[in-house]
Amino acid sequence: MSRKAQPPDQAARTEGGDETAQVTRVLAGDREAFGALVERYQAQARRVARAVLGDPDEADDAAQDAFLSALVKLEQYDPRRPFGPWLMRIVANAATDRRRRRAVRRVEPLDVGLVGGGPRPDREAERSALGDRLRTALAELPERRRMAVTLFDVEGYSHAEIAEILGIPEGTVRSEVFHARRRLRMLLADWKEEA
Amino acid sequence: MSEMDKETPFNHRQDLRLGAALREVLAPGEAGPFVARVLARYDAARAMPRAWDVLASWGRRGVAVAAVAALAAGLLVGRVMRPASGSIEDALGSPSGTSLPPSALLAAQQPPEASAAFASLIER
Repeated sequence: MSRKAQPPDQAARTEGGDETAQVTRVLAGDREAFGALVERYQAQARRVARAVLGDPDEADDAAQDAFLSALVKLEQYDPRRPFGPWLMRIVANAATDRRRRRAVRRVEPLDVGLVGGGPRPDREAERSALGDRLRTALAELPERRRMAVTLFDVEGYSHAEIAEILGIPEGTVRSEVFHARRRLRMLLADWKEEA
Repeated sequence: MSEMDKETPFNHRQDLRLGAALREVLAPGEAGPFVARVLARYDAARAMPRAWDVLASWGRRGVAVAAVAALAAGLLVGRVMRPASGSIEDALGSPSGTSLPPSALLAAQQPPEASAAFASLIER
């Protein structure tokens, strides 16, 4: 799989040897090593959880659950394989479980800091409006599609890795990413035309 | 979007513009408080005794109690099943003829001849 352009977080998961040593230290009960591992993957885990749940606080709770669940399951991790997809699978499951447990589907709250407040420069207002629009568009996608496009275009995982994370065939991942992109681009194009 | 026209399910390249926009939308809060909360839960989990340790301690007590109960039951059953009276001599019966009685065989200073011991049994 080609991975020519990697987002910044990709650098973290390419340090395989270092990561294996860190996992070994965590298994030995090293608290600092666990903290470093959490620090390294927290942004990615929280974004993936947010793609599923929408609400940032709930996403953070799911990501926390996932890190502690990963700690319990760490002995099952195969150090010959990359750590990121293994962890993201746990994150995706934690977020999905949390969403299923939600008794009533809540509408994602708008970020008060973005929609409220006084006048702001046009450019900032435009970015804010784009963000709101994109957030709404993302929320309209089916859950698996949201996760697929986030893991691919935001986190830089390959189709094969996403297939492993989501437990679906690689061809299905390609299809999900394709449809998600098409929908998001369509909504964004409409917004640009309106603007 | 620049890559829209060439989009197919077989496109394996990231859309950097869309990715950047989504990254901004999904951006989490500060890392510090989040990591601190996870580590607090880590500490709390380590402070708590593990479920297996608790079960193991219960198990050790259970095994000890079961051993004592089995011993007591064995003694009780043994006491109930024991014959009211009698000795080895009664069990073997009275000897007849010229061979020695079993009690004599058991009480002798020297071990009896094998033939004498067999004779006392055969004569029964």
